[in-house]
Amino acid sequence: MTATKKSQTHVTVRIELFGNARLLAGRCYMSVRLTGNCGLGDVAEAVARDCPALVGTVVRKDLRGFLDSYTVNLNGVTFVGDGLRQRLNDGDSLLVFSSQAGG
Amino acid sequence: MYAYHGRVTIVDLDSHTVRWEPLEEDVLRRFIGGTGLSAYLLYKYARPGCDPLSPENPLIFATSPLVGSRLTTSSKFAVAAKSPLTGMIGDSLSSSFIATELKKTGSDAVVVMGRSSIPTLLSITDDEVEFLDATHLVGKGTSETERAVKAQLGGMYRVASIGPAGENLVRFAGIANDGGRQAGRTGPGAVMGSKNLKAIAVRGHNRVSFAEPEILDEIRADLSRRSLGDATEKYRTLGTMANVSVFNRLGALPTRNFQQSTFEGAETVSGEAFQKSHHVKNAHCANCTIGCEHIVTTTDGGDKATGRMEYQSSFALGPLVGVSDPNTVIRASRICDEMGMDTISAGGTIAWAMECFENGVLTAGDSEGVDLRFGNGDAVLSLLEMIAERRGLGDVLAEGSRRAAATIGGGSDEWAMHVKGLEMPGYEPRSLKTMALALSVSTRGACHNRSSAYEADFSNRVDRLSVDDERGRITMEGEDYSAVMDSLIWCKFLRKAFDDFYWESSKIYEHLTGWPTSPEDLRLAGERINNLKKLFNIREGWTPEDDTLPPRVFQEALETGVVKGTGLTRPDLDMMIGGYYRARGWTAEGLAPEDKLEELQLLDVAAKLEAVNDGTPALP
Repeated sequence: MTATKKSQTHVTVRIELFGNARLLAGRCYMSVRLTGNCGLGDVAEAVARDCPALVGTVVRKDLRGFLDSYTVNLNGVTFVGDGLRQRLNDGDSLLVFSSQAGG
Repeated sequence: MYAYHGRVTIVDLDSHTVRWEPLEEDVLRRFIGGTGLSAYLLYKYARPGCDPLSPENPLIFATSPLVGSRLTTSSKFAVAAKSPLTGMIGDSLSSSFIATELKKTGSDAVVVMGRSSIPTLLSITDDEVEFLDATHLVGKGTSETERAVKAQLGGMYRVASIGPAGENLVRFAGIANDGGRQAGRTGPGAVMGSKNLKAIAVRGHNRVSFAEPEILDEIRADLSRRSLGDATEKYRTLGTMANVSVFNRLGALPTRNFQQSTFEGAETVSGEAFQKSHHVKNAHCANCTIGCEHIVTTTDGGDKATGRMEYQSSFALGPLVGVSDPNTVIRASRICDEMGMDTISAGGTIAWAMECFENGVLTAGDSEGVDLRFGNGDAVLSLLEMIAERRGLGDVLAEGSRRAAATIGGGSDEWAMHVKGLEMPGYEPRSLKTMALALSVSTRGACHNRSSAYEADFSNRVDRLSVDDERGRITMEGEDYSAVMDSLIWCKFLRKAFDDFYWESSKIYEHLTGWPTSPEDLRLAGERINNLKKLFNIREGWTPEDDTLPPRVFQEALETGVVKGTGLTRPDLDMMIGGYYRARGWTAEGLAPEDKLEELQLLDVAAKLEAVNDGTPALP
């Protein structure tokens, strides 16, 4: 398989919503189809497409990522920060929750 | 002098006398206010080595330069005393109208010494101080006490009081004010109870002036606007309870006395569930635009209970004791608030007792027939009342988990989840390694608020599941930053609203006081305050062995969730502690060398420490 073909492989990723994102979406999860080497903007765009209520409240209005008040974590382990630095695999989970950890 | 009154009120309950002492500019600039000023006053007025429940332990209420400015979240105050739980420095923050009223009495702080011979209501109206008989208030809960004092003195008085737990010297008793806000951690309510002081009522008419009020008006509007943006969204929507479901998914939610870090019933006691089914309204502290307080109520048709709910309460009275019924969690939190007890230490001590019961170290005979297995919500409610009243097993549990384990024995100290005697908050150290370090070295014991080190773990700055000696620098920076926040005093929920915290805060401090102040001046003040707290602890007997975590953390790997198999070794913690001591410029034994104290302008304090260690009375 060439690198180009590999990068175009599509995967199904589970988006897990927490806190206000969950209440706004009215559900805990959604499944989105992405390319394996996608960036955070692609994830945000897919989430916005599936649930427009999250645009401007969780997802940036320009769909280029999530608002600073949200953070994204891969499979409950790795915090993604401002970019996805590893390939997504089929069945991965991306957790979306508040970046305000206080309490 | 702007922003400060430049004096402290010293109340002596032994002689029913009062005096005022000056607070010089040098002291105020070095220690700012809040926890910094209260640490200074505690160091000055506590007799070295005193029993925390003796008349020689001062109970200190300290305001700050921000109080009175009406900047958002500025109405806060610190309470400090030598902690009856840890024997080291104890301080707590609370907030709302009483902070403003206390400062309007004309002092920056009140130091209460001695012990009254009868239950006392201390009334402070400007310079008029009265020692009133409070016998009629004995046994009343905190809300009822506040209402009764207002009915007696007038509705404009603001009241801080203890409930039955404080009266009965429960070592984790707190002090309540303004309708149920709590200075909860480290047991200040027990110190207040030991002084036979049921309540303090304050009323004042002396406003401070500020150096540049017009500029502060502009900053007030701007900061209020920012406080309503994305930076505080969580606190305004679900509140801190939003942590429950997230922490559970990340394997960071302490469950059944830290035996697990995920809880199968987490969703039912999550912020989302409380918001959907139990939420009544949001509430604000005085001069706060955020409104983080979430008032919740029971819905099951049983005894109605309504009150505030925070993450630490929902964790400690829910997953930590295996309870998944939100109505029980609300009732338990309400009991703690009314009896005047810290929810974290109450839940932590009960969780320890439940593990004792499941391990056969405690039996039904010890607990008046109550089945203490994890998950029994009725047992939690019963034990909370037994603790507050010091009835039966409650008398042992009222001492906190460290002392209770020493009394009960049977190896139960192995599962007493405390640091320096203070029960652990809701952050699992094995899956939050920066937090593990911060919990171990904190001067007030297992504390999450004086470092906010969890912020690094919940970000891509570090790998939360591994260790490195860089965590020492991160923890130190978090502690110093927190010391500045807690001394100015800002609410920590405002922190993300600052673009450059030190720069903005230094400018605001200048506008408040008129004193030229750089960002580095403030950062250095934070470092100074943390070193002062450490000096206090050293004076009171701290040794390097106190900087540790409970044995369970080193002996048992986590068993569930995404962190299954994750543990923490003692050498790994020691490595991080070494990094922390180096970052602080301390010796390998965790002591500040003379040049560090000189750099921090603490040599005068250290000299007093040396004299104390020589056995000569040194403190003025």
